[in-house]
Amino acid sequence: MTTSHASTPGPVRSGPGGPFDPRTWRSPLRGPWLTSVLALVLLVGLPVLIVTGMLSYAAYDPGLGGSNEQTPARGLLGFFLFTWPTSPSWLYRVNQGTHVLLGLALIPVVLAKLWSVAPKLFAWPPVASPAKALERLSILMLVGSTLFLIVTGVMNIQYDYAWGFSFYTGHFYAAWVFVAAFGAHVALKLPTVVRSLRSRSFAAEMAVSTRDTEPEPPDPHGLVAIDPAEPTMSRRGALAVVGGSSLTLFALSIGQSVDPLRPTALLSPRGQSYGDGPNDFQVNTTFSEIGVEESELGAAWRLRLLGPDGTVELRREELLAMAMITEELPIACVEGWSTSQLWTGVRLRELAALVGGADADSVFVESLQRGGVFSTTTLSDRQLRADKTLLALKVNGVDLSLDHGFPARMIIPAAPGVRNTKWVSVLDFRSPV
Amino acid sequence: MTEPGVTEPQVATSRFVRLYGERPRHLVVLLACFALTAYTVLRLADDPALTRIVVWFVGCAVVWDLVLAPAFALADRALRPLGRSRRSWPGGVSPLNHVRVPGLLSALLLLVWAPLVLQRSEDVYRSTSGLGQDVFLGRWLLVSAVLFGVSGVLYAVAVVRRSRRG
Repeated sequence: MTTSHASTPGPVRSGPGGPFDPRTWRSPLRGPWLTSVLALVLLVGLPVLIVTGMLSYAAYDPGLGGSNEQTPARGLLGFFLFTWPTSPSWLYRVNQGTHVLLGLALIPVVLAKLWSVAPKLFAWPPVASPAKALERLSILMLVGSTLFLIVTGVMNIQYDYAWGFSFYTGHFYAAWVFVAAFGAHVALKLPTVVRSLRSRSFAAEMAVSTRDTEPEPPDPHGLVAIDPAEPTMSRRGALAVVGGSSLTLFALSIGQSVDPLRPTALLSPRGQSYGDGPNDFQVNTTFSEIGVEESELGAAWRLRLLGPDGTVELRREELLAMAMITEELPIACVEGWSTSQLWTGVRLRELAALVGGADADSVFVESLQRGGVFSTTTLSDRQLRADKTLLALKVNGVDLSLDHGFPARMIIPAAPGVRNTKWVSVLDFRSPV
Repeated sequence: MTEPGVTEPQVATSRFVRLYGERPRHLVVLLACFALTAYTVLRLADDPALTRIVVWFVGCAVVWDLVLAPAFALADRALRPLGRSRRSWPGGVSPLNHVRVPGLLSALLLLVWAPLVLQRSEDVYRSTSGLGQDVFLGRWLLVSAVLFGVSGVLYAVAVVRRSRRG
């Protein structure tokens, strides 16, 4: 049976033609039901991205200032901030792996959703009432923020900073525009989604072949084609293509967050192998980039501790003579990749005790690195007191390599990777004045 | 003026709907949305990055809606002849989706991983990770070849099945 309702298209308003002519849009698959299925996936997935994104923001402990604070003008938008926990140690790894992997996997769903409602972009007349004008503005904010977050996120994890603004600034504030527009869109459209999903059985629709695929009944939204083409794919096929695309992106990236699967991460930034030695794991900032001579890290290197009781300087041999502990802890980057290694070093709070800083409020950590946003960082009192917060001297039983922060680096459980300062030179245990 | 059984608020609501085009709830939701957006944008009022952020924000929507989406649609339209005249294809099986689906996936992977595949950020990538981006073009080609290969095998299976049945 072909299109029984094609004979009753209703009055076709005279527009400028081209995409503004509804007869241009001929896919027999478009309709409220298909759009609503995609909407339902996003309704579940996007809030997870919002929550993991906001948690990732909190994980930097922006309230401590310095490099922790990448968006100082945030005002009330940081209302939810709290001191980031130090356990479980995989907390940030799972949060950020979820954020990036799910974000990648939802790209095909977002694009399919945009395809499914494309005729509405070219609705004629473009504005039928004040209500429609405002709603279209909110849709521009929704589509703009969604694509902006995808583009900045996807480029950031590939080190392509062509935008010329800070990733943190752009991604954070656009996320709030997205929250506003997404919230409004859900509030206005949820009844339509529920009604459309109830209009046909998902299971029954999944049994329909391409040949038997028919357009949805005419709809008031202008999604259903009034002059549909012959189907070349069933709705089942279309959803399988979208789901398969999501799965492909996911499968080619999951390995950069799960060590044993790393060789499977063929298309993702951190799937490459470094070899199989004890220091052969993912590097973030190589030694050759920090503007430091190797001689500064040898016998001349001292760790300076500052605290209420004064200053203490320690050589690496003196540190090695202190009580050493060994912990398996992950490095988990905001970019989504992570790796778990066996670190050996001195508990941070033992170092604090040497200068009377055990009750300090925060720890200011300085690297020998010259330049670089994260060459200094501030740790919270919670991180100072955590059992697993280490000044690591060794990894997997051997000395740290230059690229991994020799002679000593911070390892902080559950924190974003950049806060594990390498080539540490100063630990300043600060108390309220 | 008021009809029997119709309360004053209902009259006011219907007048509002006539003027605005939707019920008051619609306006309340959108005003809340714009208020939060305005607050967010004002946070950046003194930030020199604001202009660039707005350009990228609008640019993303415009480039997708007016460049990339039409480009995908045109590419798809170019494949249309593969879907016509089923009888002329082996076993009467159209190869359309067997070209379209791996083509779409391959294009999507290129779109997402373009900076790696095209080595757009080689310098930063190398100074950060210590590795090069030269492997990614080959990997993208390999994945694409596998996608087209699997799709081709599925096509052959469909043709054989159909010819045996027919």
